[in-house]
Amino acid sequence: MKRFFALFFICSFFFLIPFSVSATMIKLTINYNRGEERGDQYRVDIRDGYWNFPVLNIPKDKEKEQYSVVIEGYKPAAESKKEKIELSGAEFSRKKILFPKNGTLIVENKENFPRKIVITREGGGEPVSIEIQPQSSVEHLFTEAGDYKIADESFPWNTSSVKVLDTTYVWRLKEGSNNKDIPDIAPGSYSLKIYYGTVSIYTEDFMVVQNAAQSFIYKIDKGRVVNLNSFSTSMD
Amino acid sequence: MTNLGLKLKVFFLMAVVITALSAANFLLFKDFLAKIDVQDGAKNIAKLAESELKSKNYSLIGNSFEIARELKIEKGKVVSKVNSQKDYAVVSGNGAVIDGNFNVMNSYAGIPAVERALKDGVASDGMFSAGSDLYLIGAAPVMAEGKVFAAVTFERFGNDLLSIFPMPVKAFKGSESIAEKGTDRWESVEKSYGKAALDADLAALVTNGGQKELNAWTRVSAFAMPYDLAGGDKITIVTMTSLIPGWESYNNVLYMTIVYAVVAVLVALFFTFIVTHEIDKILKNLASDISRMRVGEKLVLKRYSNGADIVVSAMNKLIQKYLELNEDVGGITSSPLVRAEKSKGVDDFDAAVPDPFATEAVEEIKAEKVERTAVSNTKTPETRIPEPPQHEVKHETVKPDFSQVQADDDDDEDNEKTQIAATVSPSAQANPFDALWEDYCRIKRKHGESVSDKEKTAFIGKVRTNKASIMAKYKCSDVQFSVEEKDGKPVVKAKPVN
Repeated sequence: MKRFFALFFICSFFFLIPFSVSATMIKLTINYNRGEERGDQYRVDIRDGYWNFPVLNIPKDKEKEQYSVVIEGYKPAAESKKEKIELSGAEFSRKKILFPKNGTLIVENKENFPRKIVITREGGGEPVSIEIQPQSSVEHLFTEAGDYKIADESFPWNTSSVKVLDTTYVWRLKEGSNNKDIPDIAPGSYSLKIYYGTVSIYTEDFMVVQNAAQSFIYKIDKGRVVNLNSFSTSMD
Repeated sequence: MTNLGLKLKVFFLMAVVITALSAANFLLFKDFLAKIDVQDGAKNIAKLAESELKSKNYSLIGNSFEIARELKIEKGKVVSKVNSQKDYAVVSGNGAVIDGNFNVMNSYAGIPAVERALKDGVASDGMFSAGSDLYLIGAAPVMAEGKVFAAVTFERFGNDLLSIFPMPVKAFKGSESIAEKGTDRWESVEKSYGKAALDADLAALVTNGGQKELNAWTRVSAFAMPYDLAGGDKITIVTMTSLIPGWESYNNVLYMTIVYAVVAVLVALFFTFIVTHEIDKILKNLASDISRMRVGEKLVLKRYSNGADIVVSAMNKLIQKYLELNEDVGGITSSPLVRAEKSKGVDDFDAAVPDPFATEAVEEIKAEKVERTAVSNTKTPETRIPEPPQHEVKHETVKPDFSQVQADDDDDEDNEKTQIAATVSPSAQANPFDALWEDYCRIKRKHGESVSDKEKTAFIGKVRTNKASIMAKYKCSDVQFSVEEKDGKPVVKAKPVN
């Protein structure tokens, strides 16, 4: 009897899946297991003294940047994206920030003296210099796609980069299980990209057909993206 | 001015010698400077300065280790008091300050030395700037409760820090001067070398490094601290090396050289005056003495010096030859001063005749005036051969007449220097020593000793010589001789008479 019910529920599950999603829909499932930081991505090896004495074996930091999913070609209605970075000591709290168009960056000065940052668009454009009073913050709106560099005038090696994409959709991932349904996507060709910070680490092209639902299941572990649908993995 | 030519010669001789010595010294000094520069010069001074800086940074790391050793952290907070003479901070794993006595920033995240401590577990030194201030730091990692912390020690990079350098230095952050030591000496160089020129040279040194010679003894040399210090600005230390500290200013050296030259000229002039004045004086005295001499007289050699003694010696020899010539031709054969200076017995006379004189034979000079018998030449002190006397004389002493000489030369203050050895007996025929010789022979014969005519000549010559010597020695005008018997032998005694 138990076997019969089990078989019935399994068959019902697989039978009912196509009916559980609405037509023309994609479903994203990404499990993110936070790995160790790869220092070469943002650490600047600075020689500023004469002496170096190894003392302790320190475990590596966890990844500091955010993973983001971008579906190129998908342009939903623009939503206001805001990201905040802190300027503390000689370091921005984040080094690489991914923005859709019209994203707003909030920079907060955590120190007791005024700071000045300079935002420069790579490949041209006038640098924007912004002074931040002690213990206060400023906002900057990125209206054009492109790569930007934010420099701390007090500590020139302290920089942060901002990538503004020509898209209105950027999905941030958090540690653990991330699920997202995109019900109103139009039929056509799309590219799914996963970014670590501002660096694209995984790309997959797919087709969306009318009244069809597709599921995408990925796993991010130790800085690598694993496609659980096709068992393909991203390249480092 | 007398002897102007001599004075000029002496002056120029001294000036040339002083100038030559000065030039030689200067060239030698300059050569030394170049050689010193090769061996221990500015480059090594820059290395010394860099070494001092490294030691300073090392001490900061050491202090951080001391703090780390004392730290007690519970639940992410420091629970023990840390004793540190220097400014310090304790930071958590994200760089935030959790303790310390130094509060420039709330977090030291991103400061390379702190990052190395927190991320790599490495103790290291470094530098950072906050606002316009620049700080040296030393950071050491600490593990507590399974988390990493860092102890950071600070030292402001200012004039106080530059006191570790033994020489004048300037510190630049980029091209901006941020600290300086030895301001007065830098200003001294600026004044002499020119501020604009010095600034240009320093700017070139900051950019390119190396060294620059400001003058022969003052050089500047630069070294850069690790390039990433202070947020990308290069920190450059420029040292000034002077081999004559305090004399970096070329103008000062020039002025002192001029002063030295003036002083040298004055010294040369002074010594020229001293030397020529002394020569003048000696020559005047000599001339005065010569003008008072009589025929057959000699000057006492030991009374003269500084070249005049050579003249006197030559003149005495001339007089000697003159007298001997007169003797040979039968002239002044009895001149008592013919061999006045030959008192030490180097001729045959002394070998043939025993010395009848003894030291005690000369009686003490008494204030006794012997009545002088007038002689024919008392009124004529000029040096000439006197006419033979027309009468017998008892005393052959003649006191020279100084009146004329003194009248001619008022500068002759010391008449005692006018030592005319003896006077000549006007009588060459009546020998005053004959009676003395007779007494001498009588005593000898009394004891059975024989005497010859040859001995008489030697005896009389000896007496004459001793008379001259005694007169010179005791500054007397005459000497009275007598012969006495002692232990069976004749002894001649002399008595100076004033």
